[in-house]
Amino acid sequence: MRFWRKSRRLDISADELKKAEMLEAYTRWLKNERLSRKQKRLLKEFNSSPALRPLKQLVDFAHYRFEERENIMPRPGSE
Amino acid sequence: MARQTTNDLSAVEDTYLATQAKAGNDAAFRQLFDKHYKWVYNKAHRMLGNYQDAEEVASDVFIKVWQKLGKWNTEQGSFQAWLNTVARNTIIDAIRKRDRIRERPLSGLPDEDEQPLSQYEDPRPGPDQEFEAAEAQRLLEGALEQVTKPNHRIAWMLRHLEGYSIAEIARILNRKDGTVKIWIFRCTEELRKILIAKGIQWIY
Repeated sequence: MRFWRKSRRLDISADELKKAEMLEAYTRWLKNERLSRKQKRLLKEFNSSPALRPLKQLVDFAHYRFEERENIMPRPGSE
Repeated sequence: MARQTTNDLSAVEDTYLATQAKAGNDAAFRQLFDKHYKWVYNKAHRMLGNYQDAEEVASDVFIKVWQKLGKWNTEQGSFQAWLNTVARNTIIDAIRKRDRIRERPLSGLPDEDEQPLSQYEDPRPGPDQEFEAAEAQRLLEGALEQVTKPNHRIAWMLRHLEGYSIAEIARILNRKDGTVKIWIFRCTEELRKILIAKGIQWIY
């Protein structure tokens, strides 16, 4: 109930807050960061949700394209 | 492999130039400036979202580099890595000063005891997706510039491009963990919509 009350007070739906938590759980997994039990549960739910697949693809893309590029040492005219 | 060799040569050159600049060689510092300014400027622009702030921050970065170059040495790592740290910290300082964040915070959501997971499929793109991905990367950079709320974009970039944790971003932006997660989620959703409007096929 505390979870729900917070969401209403801040004009954020419980559904949106849960999706935000799921996205963060997935991001943590992708970055090889440790996950809490709650995050593991959210991650499983995230991975089995077709509706969230586009967000997953976007995060995958940012992780594997941008992080790779950011790790390359800067060179003149590289961007 | 070729890229690695180029980077190695670039790093050797930087070390030489930085050492010369440290010893008071203005021309060497000028070369470092010319070589790296665009990269620093682009990094600042991606994070700050406007040209004026990016120019100011890029200038500040090189002023700091000039002032602090005496403290840098090769044992601390490469010049580029050090420059990256100086740039990142300067950009974050600029973000803090801008005070453009107006959304109300959520209460933080504490972490529990944690364990790693590894049972999910590897989402890395295959070789046949590389060409499309290169174009998509360019479009994603453009999409980031179109995100309507700067605080959402900054939180997203700090998390996904700079590798900060939610707790670190919350401290940087002076907001609660939950607020930062919402901002990142909303930014991701907005990016998806922008990219769909641009005709990106792999996000549907």
